[in-house]
Amino acid sequence: MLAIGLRTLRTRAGSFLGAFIMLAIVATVVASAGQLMASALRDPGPGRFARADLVVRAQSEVTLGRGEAQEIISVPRSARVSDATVTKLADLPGVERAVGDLSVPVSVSGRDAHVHGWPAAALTPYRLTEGRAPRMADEVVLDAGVAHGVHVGEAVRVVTPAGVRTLRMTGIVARQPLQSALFMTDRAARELSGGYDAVALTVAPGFDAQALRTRLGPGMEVLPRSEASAADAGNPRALAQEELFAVIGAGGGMTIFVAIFVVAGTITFITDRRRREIALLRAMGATPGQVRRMLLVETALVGLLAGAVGCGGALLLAGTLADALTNVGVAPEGFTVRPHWIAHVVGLVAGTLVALLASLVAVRRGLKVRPGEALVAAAVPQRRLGPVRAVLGLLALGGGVTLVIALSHDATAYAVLAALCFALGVATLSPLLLGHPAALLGRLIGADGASRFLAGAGLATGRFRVGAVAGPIALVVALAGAQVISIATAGEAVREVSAARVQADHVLVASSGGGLPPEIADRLGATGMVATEVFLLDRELSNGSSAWPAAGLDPETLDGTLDLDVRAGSLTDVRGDGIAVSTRLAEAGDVELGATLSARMADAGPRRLRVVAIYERALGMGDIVLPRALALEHATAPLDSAVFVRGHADVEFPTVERLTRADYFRALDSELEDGAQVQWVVAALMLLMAAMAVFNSGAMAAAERRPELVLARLAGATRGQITRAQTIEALATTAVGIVGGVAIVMASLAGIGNDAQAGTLVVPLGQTAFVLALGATLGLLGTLLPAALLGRARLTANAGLRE
Amino acid sequence: MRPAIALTTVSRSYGRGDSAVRALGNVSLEFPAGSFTAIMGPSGSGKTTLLQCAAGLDRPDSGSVRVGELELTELSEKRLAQLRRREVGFVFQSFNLLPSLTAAQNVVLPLRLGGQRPKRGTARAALDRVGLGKRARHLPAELSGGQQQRVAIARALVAEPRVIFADEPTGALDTRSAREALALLRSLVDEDGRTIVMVTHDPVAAAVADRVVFLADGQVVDSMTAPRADAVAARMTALGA
Ligand SMILES: Nc1ncnc2c1ncn2[C@@H]1O[C@H](COP(=O)(O)OP(=O)(O)OP(=O)(O)O)[C@@H](O)[C@H]1O
Ligand SMILES: [Mg+2]
Repeated sequence: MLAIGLRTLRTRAGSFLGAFIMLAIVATVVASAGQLMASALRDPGPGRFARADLVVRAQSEVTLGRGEAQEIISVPRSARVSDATVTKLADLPGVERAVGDLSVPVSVSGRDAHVHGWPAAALTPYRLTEGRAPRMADEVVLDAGVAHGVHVGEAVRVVTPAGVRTLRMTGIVARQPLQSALFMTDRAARELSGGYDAVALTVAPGFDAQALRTRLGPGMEVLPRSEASAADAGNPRALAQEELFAVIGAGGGMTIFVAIFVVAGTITFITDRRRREIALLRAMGATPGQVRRMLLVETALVGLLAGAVGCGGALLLAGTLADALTNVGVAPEGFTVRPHWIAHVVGLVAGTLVALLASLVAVRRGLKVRPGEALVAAAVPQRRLGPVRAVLGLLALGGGVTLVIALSHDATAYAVLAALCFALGVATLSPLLLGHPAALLGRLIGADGASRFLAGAGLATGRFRVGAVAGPIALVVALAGAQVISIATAGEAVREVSAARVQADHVLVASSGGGLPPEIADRLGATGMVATEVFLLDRELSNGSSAWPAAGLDPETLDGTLDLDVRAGSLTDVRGDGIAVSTRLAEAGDVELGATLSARMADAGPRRLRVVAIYERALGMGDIVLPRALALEHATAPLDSAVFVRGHADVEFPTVERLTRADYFRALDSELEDGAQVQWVVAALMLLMAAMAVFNSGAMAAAERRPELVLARLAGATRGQITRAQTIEALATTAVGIVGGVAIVMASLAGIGNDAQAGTLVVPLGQTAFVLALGATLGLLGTLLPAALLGRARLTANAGLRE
Repeated sequence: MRPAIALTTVSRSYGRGDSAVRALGNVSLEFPAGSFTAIMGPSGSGKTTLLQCAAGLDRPDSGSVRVGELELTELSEKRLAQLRRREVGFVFQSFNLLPSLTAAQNVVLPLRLGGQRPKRGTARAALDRVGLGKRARHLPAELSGGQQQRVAIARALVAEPRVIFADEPTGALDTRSAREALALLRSLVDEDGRTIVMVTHDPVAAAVADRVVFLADGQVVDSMTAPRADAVAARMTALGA
């Protein structure tokens, strides 16, 4: 039986090609995602701590939610460690040496680097190639990369969070491929940082790390050398793992969803065309079980092969994808893919599993073939919408409705997902929802009687065929349309709110894109804003995550720079542990003025915060306003992300870029575009899949329709009439698909009125027109191209009586 | 002698409600072992349906079908499939062979489905008997209609079934190929003692059989032993075909 399946596969390779290509794409996507995740999860390695045995730091993990919804977030930089802790660790039996380590972000001649204390140089080790170690507070050692062009004994200007320092370079160390490094005396470095980030230990052989863990308790983490670089706040890889995973997960997940659906259509079609073959096998004595096994083995093999191709593809693609993610800011700078075998396994499994899942419907239909059908001439039976298919379609539609209703307060964020649900539902029920309208339309349009008649008849009897093509067209239009409109709407809302909030005449930002030393805002008496985040622990917040973007601000400075539109309480009380929250957060979390929230700060440090004000204009800034000092204390990098200045801003400071209000909004626009790019990276693969489906089902439909049209020609129809009939069918099919897609977009955005963040619905004309044109082009090309190719191949003799 | 196949008051309808078609109405028929029966009748009279029910390819709505000791209406799909492998063989009018298998592979298909590993030369011997020994490695698409039909007959030989069902096996053949195919079928009865039930529209073909059964509107209306072509043709004309 297996041999028969294999031989069928060989002779029918052509009809499996469509399914194969799509499976290969899915497998490529999944394997690439696997490679990216494996690379991101890979043991971070010792990094700067190659000579340390263990590294101790404050707890970096924040656990949010309970049970099923539990989520563990690991922050890029944990809370500071005190001198006392270093001494205590050094005194433990078995510990030979304990070195406090820290990283302070600085910039030297336009280049980002990190300052460390000189004792930490030995941990890597960075060895002196010239000069000597720093001994005074104004002395510094640079690595050869940073020192480029500067000689020992000369002065270097270093922009630190505490302002610009002019230091004397006393030595040069060999460069390491990790990151750019500067070394100051331990005391001078510690003054810049406010404490140590971690403690590196050298221990005697046989030291019990587990015992140390127990001894230090849950407030501290002990990392082995293989993971030590995670404790290095200067290591760019420590950043952005969560966002990377979210993007990869969402993109991969939705692509798999679409793929199962699309491939299922193809495989069902192939199986339908093989009814006689299956009937013959059954007549020859094949049991239903044997037929099932044959069909499953075939598809599994196709899936496995496609998986293998996908793994190869992933090796080529993962690098490009990583670059794309780095470009849009999701992956950290310097993120590279190192192939891991597990991703190959994942790719193979994905290909096979998607193929098998997709073949379930086909197998069910295959099993219904009666052996007696081998004796009768009619090959493809009258098709009906089976109960399973109907139920699946209704489920998908119901899912869409639920999303729109239940999550209407966050409608823009979930519009694409809702559109996906609706589109899959519509496509599943397409013979009903799209086939009937197409038949109606076909009867209305058309040039001359004969071709109109032919097209009308074809559309009316071929509702399944028409639906199979119109469904993916609707999918493309729905996904792209929902995406375009929700991105535009969300962007416009951010723009509106920001325009109302920002009143400053000038905004200072760092030209490198990083942050500005707090000293600048202090000197100018301007509003420095620290961008950070806060994790709220004890509130069931319905947006699914409890990580809230937050801003650190000094309330006394806000006059004439930022207007947050305070609704309750007063911003002047934002000091100490007093914070302000947005109306959105207040509603979502049922937070009232005076409430005390148990929170974790951006460095995972626990803190109880008191709500002293509620404000409206949060979009584009953050839903929590912290006292700036508190924000600086816990932020990953203690810097202002922007400084808002009233009136004239007189600053002479390297790395500062001074923007007028208009410039600032222009910069905001390009930031929003970067955000949109991330979403398009996610959607691109799904759209590719759906577009492939249009062509694939177009080709299948043409193959199914061909014998009929050939018969019509034999019965006297002219070539022109046939072509016109095909064109009418294509037009009707495409039009119905596009209208279906547009209807889906409208349905999925129905809840937008409830989305407080969304503001007014924005339909960008140019992009919307592009989406419609895309749908039309895909639809017409996908239907007419295969028809033309098939028609030319062999129109004459064979009227399709034989297989 | 025990009949190889016995149908008792078999009925079969297609469709439901107003559009229901009664393809067979209370048909009772016996096919003695080692006999060659032709079934004739106007188009739509229920011949194919009768064959399907007798061969276990389809289930009647009511009545009983016995092949040897077995009551087909009581068997599961799986047991029916096993029966088809061993006890019965088929020759259809068209689409007899799996397009992706060679002639030889098609011939041993029933054995393969039964999990047997056919002995070397089995397919070759069967193909030799139908005069196609040299075409063993050809795909169906490379064979003519008559040759495909003979491959199907070779397949019906190989599992040594007791009964062979043929639905218009000569319908698509020219006179000479048809005569060869009929001679082959006849020899299966005479030399190997098989039972054959053959549906045909051709009086000449029917004349090769031992007996002709006439169907009209799903009923047995007549039968004729030791038929002659002209008598059969006359009877068919009377039935309006
Ligand atoms: N699958 C089916 N669904 C509905 N009606 C059917 C089906 N198969 C057969 N019929 C009907 O049952 C009746 C008997 O059909 P059957 O195929 O047995 O006739 P037949 O004698 O073999 O005809 P022919 O000589 O044309 O092959 C016909 O009226 C036919 O329309
Ligand atoms: Mg018939």
